[in-house]
Amino acid sequence: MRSDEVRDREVTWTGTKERLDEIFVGSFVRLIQMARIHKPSNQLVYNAADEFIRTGERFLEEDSVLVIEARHSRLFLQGERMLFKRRSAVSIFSLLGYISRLGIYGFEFNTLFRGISRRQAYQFVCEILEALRHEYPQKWLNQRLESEEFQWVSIIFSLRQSGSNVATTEKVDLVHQLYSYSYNAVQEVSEKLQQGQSAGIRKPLRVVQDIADLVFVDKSILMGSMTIRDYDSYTFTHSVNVAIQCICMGHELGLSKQSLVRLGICGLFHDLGKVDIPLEIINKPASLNKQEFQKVKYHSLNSVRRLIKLEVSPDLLAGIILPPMEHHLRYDLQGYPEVGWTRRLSFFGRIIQICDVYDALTSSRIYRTTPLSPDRVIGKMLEGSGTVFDPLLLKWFVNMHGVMPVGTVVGLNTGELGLISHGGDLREKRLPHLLLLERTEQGFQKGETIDLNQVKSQEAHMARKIRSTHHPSEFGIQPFLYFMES
Amino acid sequence: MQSSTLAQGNNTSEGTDKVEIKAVENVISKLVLAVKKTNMYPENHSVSREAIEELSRSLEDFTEHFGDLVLEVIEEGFQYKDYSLSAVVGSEDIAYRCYRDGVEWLTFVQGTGRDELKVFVDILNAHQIIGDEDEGDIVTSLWEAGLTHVHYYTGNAVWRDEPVLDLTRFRVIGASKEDGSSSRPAESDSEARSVLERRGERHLWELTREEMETTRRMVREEENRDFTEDIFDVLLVILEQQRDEEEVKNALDIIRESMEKTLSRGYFRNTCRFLSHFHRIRLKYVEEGQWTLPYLDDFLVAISGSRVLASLQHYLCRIQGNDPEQLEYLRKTLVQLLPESIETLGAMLPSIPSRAVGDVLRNALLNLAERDIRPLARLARSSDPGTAKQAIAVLSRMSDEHATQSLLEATRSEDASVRRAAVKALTRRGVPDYHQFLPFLADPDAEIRSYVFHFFSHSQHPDMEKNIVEHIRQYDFKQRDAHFLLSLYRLLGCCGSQRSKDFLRERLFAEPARMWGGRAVHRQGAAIALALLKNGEAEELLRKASSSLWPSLRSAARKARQQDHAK
Repeated sequence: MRSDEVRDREVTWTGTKERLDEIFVGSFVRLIQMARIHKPSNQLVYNAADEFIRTGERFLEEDSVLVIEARHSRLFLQGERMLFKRRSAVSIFSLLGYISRLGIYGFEFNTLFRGISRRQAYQFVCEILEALRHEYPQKWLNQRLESEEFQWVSIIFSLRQSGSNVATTEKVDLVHQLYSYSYNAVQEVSEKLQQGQSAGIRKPLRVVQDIADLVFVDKSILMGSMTIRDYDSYTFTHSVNVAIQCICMGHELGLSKQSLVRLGICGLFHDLGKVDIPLEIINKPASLNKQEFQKVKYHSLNSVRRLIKLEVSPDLLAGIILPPMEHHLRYDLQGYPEVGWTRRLSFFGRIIQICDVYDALTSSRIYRTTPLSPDRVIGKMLEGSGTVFDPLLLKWFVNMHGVMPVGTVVGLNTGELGLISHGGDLREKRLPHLLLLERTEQGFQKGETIDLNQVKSQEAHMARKIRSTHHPSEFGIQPFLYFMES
Repeated sequence: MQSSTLAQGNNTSEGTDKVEIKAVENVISKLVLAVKKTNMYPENHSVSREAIEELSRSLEDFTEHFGDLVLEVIEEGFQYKDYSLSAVVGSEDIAYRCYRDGVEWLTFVQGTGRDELKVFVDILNAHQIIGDEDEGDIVTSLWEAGLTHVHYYTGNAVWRDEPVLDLTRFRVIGASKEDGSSSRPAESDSEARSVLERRGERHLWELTREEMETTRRMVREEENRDFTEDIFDVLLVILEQQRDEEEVKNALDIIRESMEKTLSRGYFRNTCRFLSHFHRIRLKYVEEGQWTLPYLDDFLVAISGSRVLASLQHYLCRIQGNDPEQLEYLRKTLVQLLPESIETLGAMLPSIPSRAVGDVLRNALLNLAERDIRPLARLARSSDPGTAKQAIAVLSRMSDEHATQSLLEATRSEDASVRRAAVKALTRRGVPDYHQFLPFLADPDAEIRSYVFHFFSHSQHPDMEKNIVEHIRQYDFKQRDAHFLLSLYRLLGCCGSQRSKDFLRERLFAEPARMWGGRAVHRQGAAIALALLKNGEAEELLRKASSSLWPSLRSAARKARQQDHAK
């Protein structure tokens, strides 16, 4: 019998029908609470310990390990997310609280769990409670659990990738939702301001806060969403892409969550002034004349003009007003608007400038229907290191994207096409991962996922190698749709 | 509450212990009270503090016995396990606020401190009502606060009506390589090398240890930066490239608010830089006759007014004033305001403990008053003696006629300390017309009288003697003024001459029937004056008095001599 079947069995407990996973978590929390206030010989401790052991053993009858894990404020038991039901929520939140305060991700119980005594179970939760009194609970608990007495349990220190397909799908869905809400938010604010209405930023703030939370959990999925393009609503997709790109880069740089939100808001609203540019200029396929270009040059200052009309506190406004104005100023202060400053651009201004150029150059526009492939865009940006771009921040940016930016389509030596899903690592010399693209009559279908590092260890003639790089638009590909499928 | 009670507690129909429910209800009722009271009373008021304290105690009681408090938030109220807490009066409103903003679960973890509860309660109060265009809500504020012991879980409520993008409908142009005729290709694009090919150029992407450290420093600086400087920089660009009235008004409103904040934080370098730049722009607009000029002038009036400058007082009262650079920026900031700011700035002076800061402020007032003295003159007439005296101190450093007039006006103050300050200031600068000064010889304040006597006693003005004599003649003596009257005589002795001899003789030798009120004092005074005159005739008169048959005359002469010797 598989563990999910075990879990689905309904068990009667105190007159209420509950799932086994809920009983296990409930008994775990109850045991912790009983241990806090009672001696080990107390009957209530016996009851809680017995139930904890009994339900845990039920899982281990079928699986070799019992994993209880906290991810993104949710509790997962055996890889499955536990639902917040009225009856079980108290236990789930309590256990999440304990795990969070311990500074760990969860616990893994192995088959030695079968046969532990009440005393051992009691001692285990006592160690948890004792750890919470120490300055570094994680370190302390780990040392205690290393003893022979606790061979049946270990701490989970990091998020697990394997066996978490359910979670990954959820995260991709979440990213899709967050992308949509960001897009809607920037569109709504933009339209309101254009119509002279007042516009607050409650929704943009909430969605950017969620993105800032997510970047700590799984950056690679967020990076994948930055490949979303829409030719017809370029400004909005561009704004969202720049915001996400900035948040990812800010995370690389070590910014706090609060700063990431500020940076994200700057990214989201950096092009608010674009709505003032006449459509005939935006949609002009030919080169712009001087007057037309002049109007385009106003847009960064116009973004500020829009920003000051937002219904935001002076404190927040002060934190987001400068970078949007600077996003077309180069590192050497050339560019526009002409401000006559001698001081260097702001930190966020330099980040936004890099992310803005990358997204602009990797997007199809009316005057450039086939843009450069993302890897060439980065190669080209490197030419501007120290003049156009802050050389230090550009290095971080390049490292963030890795050997090959996510969303690049590659031609392989085998004649196959692949879509980069993970950029690899320049420092670690880790090659990218890619999704093979299979050509069908309806277009391309997602094929196998290839880790080029693993291929590398095979015989040379078998190894897949990148021969050419392309922009996904050359093949009509919207990369994120393929990531959603994976 | 004893744990044994918990074990034996009566279960409700839902299976939840009654004692536990009572404990939850207690927490919720304390939460309701805390929300109400902190909303009604200031932060530091004992009522507010006590409400948070009680909430904290009740929560501590609960978590001690039952572990973390987990509440479900539904539209109708809070729910604990299967038990509705809507019976707690006022809880539905708080629960609704949370529900409205999408909070589905709230957890108070054991160890939640008073500070965190205070923040939580403040957040609930800050978002009582939410508008369509608000900056945030309970969730954004809780996120921002990052409370470690108060957790929340939000569902999809806020995004319920938000469409999710159908990405399959997004158009990807450049769809086929076949038709991909780029209409505006960049020539250099075809030569662009892939980052893959540039992997060997490690200097372009490899981060050194020093660069990582530099990055950490940049992050630290960014996270501790004062952003109001950004507002000034950016909005000055907007002002220089102004387009319409609304835009200028908006920009100036924001600058004014930022100015208030910057002053309250003491970032005077920023305000100084901003004002210098602002005045340059204003000057340019004056020359060009720009339509924006009235807006800029209104702005100057606003930032020179009490509302904006009040924010400065709190800061100035806190600092020691031992940073000369900061003080210089403060001075440079203040002198760029309008003279109208004098009244607000001057009123701050008495409460500023640092002498150095006070000096800077006084210097600034002096500079501002040189542009227009009227606000300083008004300040000198302030009903607050402390403020009036500060204004007088500044006026005393000004040499023009208006300053003297203002000082003379100040001498008419009802407050003796103000009169004293004004008199001193006037005597130091040299009294223009000592007639205006003579009334102070009769000032009710002894120190002023003494000061004026001292001043006149060193003066050699020709009319002085005559006027003092006249003053004595007309003096309506009261016994308590004996000392004053003697001082008048002493003054006459100091600055008088032969011309007073007859008057003094008359006073010294007057028969009792012809004497006026306080005759003994007059006689004594005349003797003193004669002793001080130190000339032959005066000496002769004193000798005569000392050999008189009248004991009072002899006594007066003797005392005068003794005093003179003692001197």
